Amino acid sequence: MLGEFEYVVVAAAVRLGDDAYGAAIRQEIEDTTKRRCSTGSLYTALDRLESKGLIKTWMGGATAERGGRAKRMIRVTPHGIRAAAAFYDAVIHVSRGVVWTTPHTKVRS
Amino acid sequence: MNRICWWLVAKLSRGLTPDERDAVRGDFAELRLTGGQALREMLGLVARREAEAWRGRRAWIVLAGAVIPLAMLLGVVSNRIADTGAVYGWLYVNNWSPAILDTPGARRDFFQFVQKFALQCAALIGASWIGGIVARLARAARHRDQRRAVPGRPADRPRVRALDGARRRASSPALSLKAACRLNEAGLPRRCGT
Repeated sequence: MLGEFEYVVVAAAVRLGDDAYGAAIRQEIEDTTKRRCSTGSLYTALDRLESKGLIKTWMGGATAERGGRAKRMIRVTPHGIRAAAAFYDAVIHVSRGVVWTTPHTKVRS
Repeated sequence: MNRICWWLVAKLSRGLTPDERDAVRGDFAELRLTGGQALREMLGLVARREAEAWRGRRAWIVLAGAVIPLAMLLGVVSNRIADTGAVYGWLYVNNWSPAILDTPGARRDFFQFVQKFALQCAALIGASWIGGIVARLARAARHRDQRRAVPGRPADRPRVRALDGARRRASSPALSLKAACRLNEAGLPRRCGT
């Protein structure tokens, strides 16, 4: 099963489609989660996902914006899609009927 | 300060594989990070990579079985050479007299000391150099292992580079028919202006 951050990376890569690469995924994660995403954690997660066969990466083209350096392009494999869907289902199922309470608020899911 | 940070980033990035170095430094450029931010990010990545390498048993076996014993041996030998060299060196420097070279026995002792000391120093330099070569080979092997651990990457790279070349040719004003055909065969969209 995927970890939380791995799921976030896979979801961002799927949203970006053919434009998924390191910097774009990082930007997408930061924009959507409003949390800081470090290059170290992102690239470590990408390696882990690739070794599990959940994503496929290859070196793409270079652009002037990147100082002529290549991008690490990312594509989610069908196995990755299934794993992410399973994670999402698990979160939805496990959250059903849970009442999130704090001393001041009471939120029902 | 910024330049020093970028210089450090370049130095630290040598710990990454060439492809990853390219991708990460390209990301930094695209995200317009400052030198300090890039340095912090690079430190984090390199630290994670190093920690990853120490998760396996092999690194610890090499450390305990080869690196520590050899380092200790090298340390002991250098210490002994330094001690001997310092004693005789001090004796010759403080008691130097042209008579040392004029007397056949003293001259022979002096040249024997110089020869022995020079050979020991050369042996130490050689041992350190071999240690450096072994470390470099170990790093190359680790990078190769990292590339192997990523399924499909080495095989895909030449094809992708060839397709990128085709893309560039296809997006140029003088459209190459052959390049366009290659893109169509690969089912990839034509990219313009990159």
